[in-house]
Amino acid sequence: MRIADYLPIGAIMPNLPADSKLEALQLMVRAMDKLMYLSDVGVAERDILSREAKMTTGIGHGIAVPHARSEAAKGLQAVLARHAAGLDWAALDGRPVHFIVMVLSHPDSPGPHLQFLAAIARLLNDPPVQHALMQAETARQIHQIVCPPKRKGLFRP
Amino acid sequence: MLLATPALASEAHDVPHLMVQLVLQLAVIIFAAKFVGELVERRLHQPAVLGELLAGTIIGPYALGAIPFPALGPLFPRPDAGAPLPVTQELYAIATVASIVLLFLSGLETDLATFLRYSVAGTVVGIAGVVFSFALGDLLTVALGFADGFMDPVALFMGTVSTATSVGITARILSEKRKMDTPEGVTIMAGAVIDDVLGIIVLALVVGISRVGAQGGDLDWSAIGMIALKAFGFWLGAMAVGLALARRVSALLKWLRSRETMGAVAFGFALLLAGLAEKAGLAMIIGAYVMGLSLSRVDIAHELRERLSPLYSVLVPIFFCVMGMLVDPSAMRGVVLFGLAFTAVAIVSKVAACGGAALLVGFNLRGCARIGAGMLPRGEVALIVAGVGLAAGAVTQSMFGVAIMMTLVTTLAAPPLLVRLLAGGSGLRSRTGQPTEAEAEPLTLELPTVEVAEFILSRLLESFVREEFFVHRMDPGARLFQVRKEDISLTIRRERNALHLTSRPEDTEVVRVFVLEEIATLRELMSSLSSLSSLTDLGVSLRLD
Repeated sequence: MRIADYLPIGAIMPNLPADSKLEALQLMVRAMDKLMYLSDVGVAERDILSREAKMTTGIGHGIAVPHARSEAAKGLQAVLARHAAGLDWAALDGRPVHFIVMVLSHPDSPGPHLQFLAAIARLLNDPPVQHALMQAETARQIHQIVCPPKRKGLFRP
Repeated sequence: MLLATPALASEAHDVPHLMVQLVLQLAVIIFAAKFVGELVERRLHQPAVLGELLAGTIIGPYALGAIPFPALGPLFPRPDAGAPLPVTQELYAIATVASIVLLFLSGLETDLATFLRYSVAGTVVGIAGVVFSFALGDLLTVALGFADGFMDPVALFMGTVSTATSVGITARILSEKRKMDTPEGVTIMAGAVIDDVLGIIVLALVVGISRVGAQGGDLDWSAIGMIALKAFGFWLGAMAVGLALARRVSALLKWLRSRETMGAVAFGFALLLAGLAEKAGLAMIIGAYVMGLSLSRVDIAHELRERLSPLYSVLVPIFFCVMGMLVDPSAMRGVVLFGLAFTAVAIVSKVAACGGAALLVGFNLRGCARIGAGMLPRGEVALIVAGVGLAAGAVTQSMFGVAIMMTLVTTLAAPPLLVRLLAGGSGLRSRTGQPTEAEAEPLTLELPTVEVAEFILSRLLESFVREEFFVHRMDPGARLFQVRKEDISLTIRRERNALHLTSRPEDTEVVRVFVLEEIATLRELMSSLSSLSSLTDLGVSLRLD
């Protein structure tokens, strides 16, 4: 699966102006709404928070993947945010979170949801990539790291 | 009978009559193959394939099949002298399709990574087997006075007859014993395929030499070179293209959505490559095997195997039964001694050469014995070669009988031998010499009870299926599952109250994310259950009045 198919430049927030986990989640849901990803902001926020209440989505190494299957989403929707200072996410390894990928997908739509989270976690869980992402200045630069240009070739589907 | 013969002759091109005959033949074949197969399996504890071959000989045109039924005539009429095949073309066509099913599924069962790792070993084994069995078969014919010298066409043909391993029989046993993806299994398969490619080339060479011997003139080396080039070119080219395009084919198959359609279309691809292989001068089964091998590493491989297994169960016994029918026991009269000697040499040369070669490429004695026995059976290819020799006039009827005897004995001897040898431990000399695929430490979840572990397991599998992963239960007796999608592949095993998840290092995130979600669900479930004041109250409302 290709991350690039779900993460346009517009869905990247290079500097998330949040001071807490809750604020970060709310800002990101609102960003999704601005991208016309949601049919109901309130429902989306409720679903994200209720998943977060079950157990932290801070999977370690500075990465958090808040997500939910929500009626408010149209298909699989994602936004990526960077927080240079780091947020307390009560993560599994206790470290502050710098990269947050929020994913919402409609409960009835088949296909990747957790698989997308795993793909992005795999990409971000790499020190050189994290370093490059911290150095990047614009959304476009981040996008180029997360979604490298498609390799073209007959035998490379 | 005298009255019936002209009536039958006029019916020879009568399509409904031919179809009735074919359908009845198939019915009898299926009954006989399955019945004798079961009997051999249950009473003699031998593989069913042995029973199917025997059933074929018993009901075939050289035995019971030739006995005429009133009003119907014989079900399997004895062939006319000089007929290329002792069974009808229609029946042989069905057997050919069946052989494609067999080899396509054998390819699907093979582990591609292991196959490629042992392809060099397989090539060495295949070449050694061809060289030794050809030389010894040829020399024995000369030594017993049936030919004048090594280059005498009779000797050359007898040498060629003893080269070609019948991959079908070995593939069937490896599949039955679930040994297709072991080092020995893939070495035998790779060796048998190389053997086939070489066999085609040797046959072309021998036919050319015998033609020069009969008509004079020079050997047409360029024509023989072309045959060799086409055979090798197709084998390597098909492998390369198959590997490169496997994922595209798999994507196309998945686009079909219906799993039944997926299996049917995949089989269409197998037929396509089989036809192309035959066009390139190779055997159809090689094309079918390459197609299966290419698809063996895609995520839908298990799905395809499951969809095609009913086809396998019906058609494959027909193939072996028809193979049994090709054998004429009476052809062996008069050449029994030569036949015995030739058979013994054919056995010894393959087992010694292939086993010896296996010893050189890292197998221990047990592995060598398995590989030698696996390369032992000669089947349809030997009969085809002998048939070509007969048609070219280089092989006499009695030599043909010798070829049939050798085929029969090696074919019947291989299954019991191989089954016995496959039991027991590893056939590799050292475990360290075997580079295992990099696997991460399995993630182990200890859960409080078996029931909770089973609950999490079924939830996990459900969430994989929901994300369009293909889940395959590996062993019906144990809780062992393989989960695949595109490049991702992992296994989940439950042992008592523990779940073990094993994946390649690059897929650990998938494992972790999926497991994390189930743990989150479990936590929520626990807290919501503890808020339930009393489960006894719930029980009260369920009690019988």
